[in-house]
Amino acid sequence: MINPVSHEEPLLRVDNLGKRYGTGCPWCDVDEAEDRHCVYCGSVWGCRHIDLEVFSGEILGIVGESGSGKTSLLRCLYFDELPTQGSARLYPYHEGTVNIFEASSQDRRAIRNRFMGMVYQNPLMGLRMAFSSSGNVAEKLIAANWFHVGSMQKRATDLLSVMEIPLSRIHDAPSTFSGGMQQRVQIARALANHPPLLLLDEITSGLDLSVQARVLDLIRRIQREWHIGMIVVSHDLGVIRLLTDRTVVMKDGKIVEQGLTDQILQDPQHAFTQMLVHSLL
Amino acid sequence: MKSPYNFAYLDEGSKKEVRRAVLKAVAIPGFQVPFGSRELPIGRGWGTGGLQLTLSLIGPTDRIKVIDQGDDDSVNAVSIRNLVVATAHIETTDMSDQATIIQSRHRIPDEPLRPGQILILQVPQPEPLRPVEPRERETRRMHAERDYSAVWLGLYEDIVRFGQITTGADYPAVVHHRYMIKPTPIPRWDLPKLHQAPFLTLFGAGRERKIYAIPPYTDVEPVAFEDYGFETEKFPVACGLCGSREAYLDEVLGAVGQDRTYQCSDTAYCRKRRDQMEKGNI
Repeated sequence: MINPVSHEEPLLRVDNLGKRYGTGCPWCDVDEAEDRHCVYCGSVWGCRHIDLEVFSGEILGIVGESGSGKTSLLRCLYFDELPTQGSARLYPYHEGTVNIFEASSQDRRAIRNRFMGMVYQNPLMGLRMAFSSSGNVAEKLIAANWFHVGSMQKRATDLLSVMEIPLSRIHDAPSTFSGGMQQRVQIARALANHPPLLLLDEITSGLDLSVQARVLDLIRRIQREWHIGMIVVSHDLGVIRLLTDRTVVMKDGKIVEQGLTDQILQDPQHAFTQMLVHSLL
Repeated sequence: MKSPYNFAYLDEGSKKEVRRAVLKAVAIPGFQVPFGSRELPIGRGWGTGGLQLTLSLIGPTDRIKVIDQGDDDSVNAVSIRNLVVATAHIETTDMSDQATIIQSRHRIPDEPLRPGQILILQVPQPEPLRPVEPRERETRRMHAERDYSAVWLGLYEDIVRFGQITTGADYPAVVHHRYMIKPTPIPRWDLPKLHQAPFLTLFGAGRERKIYAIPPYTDVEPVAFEDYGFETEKFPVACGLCGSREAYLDEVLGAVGQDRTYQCSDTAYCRKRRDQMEKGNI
């Protein structure tokens, strides 16, 4: 199942991905409907008709206003939710020939543990607050069949050091940490098995500017040194400008524009993107 | 005078349901089979799961032994034994080798059991994943996918914080290389007795409405890391009464508080050894 990442093939290819919340009805599938809410059954599309590709070593930004479907998309990719339609192919999983949403639940768990890492906006969702920070990293290693305590401790210590967590605190519970430290523990946990793809959901929300800068520096350094693909979801164009190579703009659950980040920010084509760029403080 | 109760208290339909659950549990070693736990004239949490198994399995020719933490004469053991005798009129015994069914709480007899015997253990909490996952639906998924990393994590945390695994009783184990179980709060000392055991072990949780089983000659492996293996308790001395060094010992504090002695937890085993000592066989 594990294959080296090819540089020619995209690391992740998403085709026509959609997530609907609600029971659904035949009217929900009418493509031309402008409104994402179905007036007949009350269902709502979190995201719809999402096509995107991520290459190894590349950072893809997803930007949009609150409620535009960014997190729904990421949660589908990390199997927190199952999509209503569409497919995603991850190159390390059967060389990208199999739709990961059709994988067995055991395979999905293996994909989550070995090929993907996720950093949630809310650390409560990504960390076990009652366990130590090193334990949070070790859990991912155990899931990947590490059963040597010494090796796991060394790996956890190395990762948490890279994340600038003081060595004296790696056995403390994340509940005793500041928001910035919790996010860094989440990143260490996500990177535990050296996944080829990292998903980052609004990781700087709620952090002050100096802590934001440290976390962003860390992400850039990891991407440069580890050469892994990343999807960064944010509503902050500053984060997108600083981190990403390419950017996707989402509105009402759909992609309205995508391209190189500089191009998107300097010469936005879609009216919503123009409004987004010009509404910078 | 005719007994006002059905044989072995439970009605035949209830017994049949419990037996059906037992058959499924034996067929899938370590899998927790839900069953309709009945009301009994003892409180939930006092051995109703084990008692329902016992009442469903005994026949007129069976001989039962009931122990509570190794003791045949504790209040709980005596009450359960009296209930079984009052409703099934079968023989009871203190000797492990003479019993066909042994119902126990928190201990496995120190005398080796033989093929054909049934050991029934009372279970307070059957779910090894419950401390880390409160949702039943989620624990079922985790069992289905063998997602036991959270249990391993608990042991890892023990080692990181205390330098060793501190779980004394109810040490998690994997049955038949598949399902993780809680072997009830038996001490670690007893856990190796379940590995490739010649007897059938049944676990009944009345309050939680679950039955699971370890069929004879089944692998039972305690959860252990490569560099921190499973260890049983070690005792510094022999039993103060029978001199055994091969039994699980209870620590007994003297009246003064300073002096402490050790004696066998399994009272029947200890008594048998002392009888043999008197006869000069040991």
